[in-house]
Amino acid sequence: MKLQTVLPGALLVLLVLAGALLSYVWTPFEVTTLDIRNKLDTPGATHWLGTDHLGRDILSMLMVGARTSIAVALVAVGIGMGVGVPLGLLAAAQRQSWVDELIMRGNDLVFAFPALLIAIMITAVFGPGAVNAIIAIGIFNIPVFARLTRGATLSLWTREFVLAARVAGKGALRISVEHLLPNITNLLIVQGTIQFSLGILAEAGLSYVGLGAQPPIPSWGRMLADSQTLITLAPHLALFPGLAIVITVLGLNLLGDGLRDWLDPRLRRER
Amino acid sequence: MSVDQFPSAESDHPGELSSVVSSNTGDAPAQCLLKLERVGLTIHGTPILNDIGFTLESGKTLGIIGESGSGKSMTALSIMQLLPRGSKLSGRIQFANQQLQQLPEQMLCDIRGGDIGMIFQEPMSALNPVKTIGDQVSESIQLHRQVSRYEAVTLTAKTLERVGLPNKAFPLSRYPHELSGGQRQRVVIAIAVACQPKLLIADEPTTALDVTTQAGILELLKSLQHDEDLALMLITHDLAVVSNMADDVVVMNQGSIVEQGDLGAVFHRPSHSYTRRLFDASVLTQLTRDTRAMRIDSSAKPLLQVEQLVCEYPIKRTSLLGPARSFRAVDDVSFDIYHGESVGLVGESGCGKSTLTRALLGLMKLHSGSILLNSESVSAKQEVSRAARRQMQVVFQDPYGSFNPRHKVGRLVSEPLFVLAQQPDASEARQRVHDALASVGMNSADTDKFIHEFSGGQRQRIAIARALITEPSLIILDEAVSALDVSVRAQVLRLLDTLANDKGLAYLFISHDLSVVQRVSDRVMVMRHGKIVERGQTQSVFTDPQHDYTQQLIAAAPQLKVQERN
Amino acid sequence: MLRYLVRRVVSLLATLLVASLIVFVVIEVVPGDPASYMLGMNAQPDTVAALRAELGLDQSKPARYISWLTGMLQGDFGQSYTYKTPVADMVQDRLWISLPLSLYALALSVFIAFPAGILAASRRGGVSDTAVMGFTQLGIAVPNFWFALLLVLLFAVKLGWFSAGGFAGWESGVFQAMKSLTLPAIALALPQAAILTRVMRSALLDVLGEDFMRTARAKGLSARQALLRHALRNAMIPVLTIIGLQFSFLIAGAIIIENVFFLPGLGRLIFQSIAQRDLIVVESVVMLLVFAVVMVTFLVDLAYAWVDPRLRHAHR
Repeated sequence: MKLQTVLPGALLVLLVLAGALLSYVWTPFEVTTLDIRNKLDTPGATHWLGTDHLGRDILSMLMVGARTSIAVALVAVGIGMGVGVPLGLLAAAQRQSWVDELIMRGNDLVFAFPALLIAIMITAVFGPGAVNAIIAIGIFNIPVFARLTRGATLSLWTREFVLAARVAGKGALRISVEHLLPNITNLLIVQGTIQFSLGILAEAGLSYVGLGAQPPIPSWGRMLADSQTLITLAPHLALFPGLAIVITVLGLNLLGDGLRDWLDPRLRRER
Repeated sequence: MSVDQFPSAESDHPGELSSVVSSNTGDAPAQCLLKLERVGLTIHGTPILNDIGFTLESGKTLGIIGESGSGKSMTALSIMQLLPRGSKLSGRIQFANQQLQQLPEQMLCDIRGGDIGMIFQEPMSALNPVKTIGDQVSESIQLHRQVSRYEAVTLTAKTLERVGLPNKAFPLSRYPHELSGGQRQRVVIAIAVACQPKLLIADEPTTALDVTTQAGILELLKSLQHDEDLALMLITHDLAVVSNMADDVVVMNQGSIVEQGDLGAVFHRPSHSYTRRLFDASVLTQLTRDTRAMRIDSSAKPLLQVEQLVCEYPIKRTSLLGPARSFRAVDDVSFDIYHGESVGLVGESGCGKSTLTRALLGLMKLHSGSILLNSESVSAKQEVSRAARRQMQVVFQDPYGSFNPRHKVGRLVSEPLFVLAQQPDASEARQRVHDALASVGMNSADTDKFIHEFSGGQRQRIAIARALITEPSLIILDEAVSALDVSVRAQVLRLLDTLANDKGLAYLFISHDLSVVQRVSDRVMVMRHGKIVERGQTQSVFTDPQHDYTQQLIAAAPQLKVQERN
Repeated sequence: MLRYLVRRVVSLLATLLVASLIVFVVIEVVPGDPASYMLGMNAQPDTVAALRAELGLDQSKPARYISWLTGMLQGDFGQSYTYKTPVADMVQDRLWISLPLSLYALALSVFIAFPAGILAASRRGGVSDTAVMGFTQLGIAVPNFWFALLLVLLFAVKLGWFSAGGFAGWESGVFQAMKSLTLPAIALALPQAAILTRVMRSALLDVLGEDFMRTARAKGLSARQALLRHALRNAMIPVLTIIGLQFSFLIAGAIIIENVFFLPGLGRLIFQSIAQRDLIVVESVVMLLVFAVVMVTFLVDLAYAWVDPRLRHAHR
């Protein structure tokens, strides 16, 4: 079908993904070696994107930092889907019962705690780290997926094809897996991409304020935090990590929009 | 969609405009209000309308007949100049001696709602849910008349009275969600006629309504037209409605006019083969079933016995501490169905027939009473047994919604096999799917297709195949032909006849459509407010109804007035 | 309407109660002994004992929760361990920066998003639609703190129109104070405005496809009149939901942005407190922020009823 709707986003995401994967086998420089003599180099032939205040190669740090960003956001989406989707299916299957009510009120409650507040509470008690960032963003994702799943399957439960399955004697679990899940997969993929991109942004924000991955693991957010005091001296330090975030998030959003247009059964049925 | 899905008509000759308009005010010949000449329409290059031409005079009613996709609604939107994006209109549409395509958008706005009013099919969604009915009617008046706010309110109140919504019972401050479907349609009519238009276009105005409500709306349209010398353009798929309302008719098929003329002439001597087929199909659904009742052995045990069935829904408490209340949707219903018998259940929306279906299928808890299938209980509060489920299958109304769009036909048709105690192996299951599809006239090659590759009629055949696969004794047909066009409907009804004869099936045929029930059932039951108010042999109920409500229903149902053709 | 209001208030109070319990459990119960956690590894036993007494840790946990709760209801948020001053006083000063900043940003994002969304929807597929949608794609992808850095670079370092950070204080006049909040508010507002624009546009497009819009056109309204009179109010339902959600993002975002601009708001306070392990302050500020988020959700619920008459008559 119309591949061009997915292509630009997919290319940007692939670029970032390739950089992250490449960094496992090769980076232009070691990210851990400090080279104080060459600190704050502007972009040039040796260091393509320059060096930071400790002489580390910016490009290498961006490549390794991509791993952190992607890993945190991906696992957080996994947590959100892994917990949220079954909860949403359950709530829809038991609609208007106390189970449904409990799940939905629980969702509302989690919505009262923005991801940053969860991260702050966790960090205040356990100290900062990438795992805590994952948990904080992951918890925040759960109600997003639970609501989406419940809303989408609730309307499916009244559809006649589900009634037909019930007449065939199939139970709620079997119907959820056989009939409902395949019909909301597209929705979940699209929302997954969106949450992925939000996760990248959230991870960057958390590590910017020091609640994310800790040194010496490079992360985009902390590179920006480090650049702040040197912003008049070396603006390129602030430029490149920011661009890396924008490219990744933009790519994911374009991919999500493209997938939506591509997979939307409403658009496809119009023939 | 967007706002400019209704593009303003392109005015190719801006210089001529003033002359066109000014020279034609006042002295237009009254007999020809609307005239379409060689009108063609394409949307994004796809041809929709082809060489449409007809005229309509003041004080006359023109019926436009066609099945879905015939282009009848697009004809109406062409006259309103409210076509979707990407539309290209050709030919001439002349209204009160102005050529509509050449008018600038501002003048079209004055004509819409001022000189031409329009009514739509879906009264439930045709009104803005966040504005009062008074606001929505008076908006139309304030747009087209130079009146004060106060006068507009007075006129609004008068208009609502005129369409049968007395201000005492329906104050202007009501919101649409506080009204029933028929009442909302009256508000839509009020908006359309508030400024005394010359032409009223009604696009399937009663299709979404119950038969008794439909009769009221049609009566209203008739009286409005008579009192105000309106030209009425009535678009419908229902020949019976047209035969009761129209002076002239236009029959459309696939974007073209196949036949037009005086009502009597077209209805008595249809010249085009499509029109004849349409009539034959409509007449077919109005015939009575040939009495197979003879073959039914009522001394034997009944196949299905429903005894004193009561079903209730909980409704929201009105106060926090008040008692839990419930709504009795099925109230003390008892009936039997014998082997090979076809029983019709008629009722309007909200009468409890859907709840009854759900109860029979074991999809909801019974409050009290019992359901016995082959003398075995399927009811009470326990799970429906597998054996009972195998014996009783269902065909739903919506040919689009009753299949999972992600599964192939083979898997869809074989789904009921899940109820069998002994699951058939893959090859046997495939064989049974093929047999079932063959018995409804479908091909075994269809098993590997997805459901969206089939038309509405084919889907309903597949739904019947799905019901047949467990070799049931009873099939519940829940409005099973209501969503189909009349010609397709006739084919499906014929198929059901054949299957009943071949396999000795019993049917419970649930519908709001009297003519269809009359056509298919040996016995009929009439349901209202959760109770069965009348029952008997189909022939006697329809010719000699006893209960007031049955009499009302039969009187309200439009009959196709057609004599023997020579 | 009254019943709707009562139900909302009950659910508001219930949410707040459970949320406070969660905050209490995470911060005071999970670390085991908050006193030794706050003082670190090398604390003297008698210092720990003194802090325990000061915090009332000898009481049972339910008793501590009750007294914390009742204290907050009376405006007593306890005493900061590091600063030895009442938390309520510290919070009050800083609230006067964080709250105006969030509201400023919210107002900016609404003022940008409404016209942009309406423009894009009414010119669907046209040049202005494409341009607006392009900008929103970019706006969503830009992290607000990075955008803030760029703003500083341009308007403070290069052009010198604004100071790079710090807060002028309300005592130096509303204009000066608002001026020092302007760059932070823009940085906060722009990504949110991008999201809100998209929501506004798609909500409008959804409504424009409804049957009643055709009725509106058929009664003689122009496309523009129909949009403003009939589509806008219906589109407000999803838009309000997003505005409500955005406020909680703005509060969270403000915490980060305050760090970029060295604004002495709640965000600075909370990060200092985390660094100093001052759990009492962290607990109170988190609870305050949760309270703000829940209150906004509540107000949005009320706004729904104002926009949608069907909710007002929900009992019918």
